[in-house]
Amino acid sequence: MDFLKWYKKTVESAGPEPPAEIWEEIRNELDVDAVWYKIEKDLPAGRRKRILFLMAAAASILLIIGVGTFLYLSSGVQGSGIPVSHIRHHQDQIGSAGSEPSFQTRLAVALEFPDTRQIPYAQDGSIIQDADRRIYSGESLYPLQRLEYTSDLLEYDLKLHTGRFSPAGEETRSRRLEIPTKGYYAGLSGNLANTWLLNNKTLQGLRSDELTASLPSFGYSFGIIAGKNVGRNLDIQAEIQLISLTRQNYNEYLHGKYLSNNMQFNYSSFSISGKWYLSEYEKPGRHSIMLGAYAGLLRNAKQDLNGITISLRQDYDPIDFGVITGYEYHFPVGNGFFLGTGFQTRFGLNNIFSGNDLIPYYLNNTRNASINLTLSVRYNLN
Amino acid sequence: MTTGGLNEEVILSGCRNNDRRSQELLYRHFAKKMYAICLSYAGERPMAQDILQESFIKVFKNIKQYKNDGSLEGWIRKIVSNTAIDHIRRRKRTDEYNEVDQNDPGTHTSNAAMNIIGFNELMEQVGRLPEGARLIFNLHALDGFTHKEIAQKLEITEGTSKSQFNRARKLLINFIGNMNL
Repeated sequence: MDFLKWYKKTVESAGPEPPAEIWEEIRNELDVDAVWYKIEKDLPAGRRKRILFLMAAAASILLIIGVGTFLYLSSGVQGSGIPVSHIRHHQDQIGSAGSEPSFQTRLAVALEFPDTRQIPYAQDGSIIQDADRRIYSGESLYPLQRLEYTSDLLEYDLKLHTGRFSPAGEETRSRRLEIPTKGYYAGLSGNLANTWLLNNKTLQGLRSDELTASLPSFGYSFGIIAGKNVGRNLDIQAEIQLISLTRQNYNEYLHGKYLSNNMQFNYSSFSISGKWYLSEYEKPGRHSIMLGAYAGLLRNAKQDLNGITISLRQDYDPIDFGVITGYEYHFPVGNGFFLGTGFQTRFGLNNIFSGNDLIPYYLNNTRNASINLTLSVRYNLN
Repeated sequence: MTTGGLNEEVILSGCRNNDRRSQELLYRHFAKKMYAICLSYAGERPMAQDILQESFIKVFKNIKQYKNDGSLEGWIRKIVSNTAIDHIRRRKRTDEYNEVDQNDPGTHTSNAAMNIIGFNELMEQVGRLPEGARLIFNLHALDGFTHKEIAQKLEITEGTSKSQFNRARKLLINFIGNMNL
């Protein structure tokens, strides 16, 4: 007799009756679930969560505004920054006693300073400040470029106009720059994201020979941004994503059939990033790369399993944190507004699965990841 | 399936509406067979009872997913075997499926022994099998999973599944052969 057939037949045909208390336990469990289901619908938990979320969002906004105001006031800048009032280009006669007079092109740049801040000098000492608190340059453009404090403004304006200066006579121009240099900005942001929950199952699902099939999943987010220029080519930018939706769809072979799974996580997140500008002001827009960090607060999590929706809130960690990298191109659209677009990648550093009765947390290490197309509009506050 | 004068459709409909009487009828109809399977997976009664209980809770919570596109018994058996895997996983990590027995047991048992031995005696010997090997043996012998499917379920190689199955089969034959009947 075939051993395996005999084994299967013996097991399936001659088993003992299970203890009676097993059914009692099953019934109790189902009763508890049924009662909880009825109670849960009447609990005002959802409303409490919404209020907490709104309070957290309001507190975050106030925090950003408060920190921004403090930085702004403590920087000593008043009024609307440092506008270039006019640029003069003229010829001066330079010479010494006994020598032939010669003409040399000189350039004078006058800036209006609303306060008494000390003006930095160029390394060759060619910048001076007169009694009317005007700054004068040295013999050429180049000393001006070494001005640390005013270099961005000056370079931008001078490079714009140098080619059009006439070597003779005097020319005066007035201009207000649109590109922020010491500025603050604030605006709105939105992302369309290709999102992933990275774990063994979804990674295996990318292989064609696996029964599980991971599917492209998309989420979105929107929020507010605020930033400050802190260096020649560096901005610090904070972003609050009021809603950040992460999805992971996959098909799974379970219980003898293919089941469609849709996991959905809704976060609110805060991020802070450094943005390095790759291009100078002479271009109509600017390219930048960014590196930063984010922390997200899980608001809700659910799984739709073949039409049955279950909550995953208790199975996943309320906190997600990770790193951000990205690229952005932004350009002025007038009246102090800028439009930016680019992409970001976000990669979670912590295991967001906190475990449940069936699976301990370390057997289902799960991380968030996303590739985002970004769109932002911001307003220069200076 | 007909139970207590009710057919399967009526019982399923009641279960989908969370009717306790229908759930009990369904349980009573399949409990004995599924308990035997649980015993063969678990190798011990307490764990088998846990698996049976958890399996039927899953059955009733997910009964709406059953679309009559296969046998109800087969669907419940899949839940039982998956639940057994979860239970055994909780006790043993995947690496332990790879445990190697240096002693090659004998492969002969007599038809006479197979004719005499009953369920309880068989389960005693099954309970002596290493847990990982027992799980693989039952997945293949009882539930008909291929070694490729077992490898995917347990996240092991197909070769490990085959070797562990053969090892369990040889051990079990040897255990039965050495019984004092």
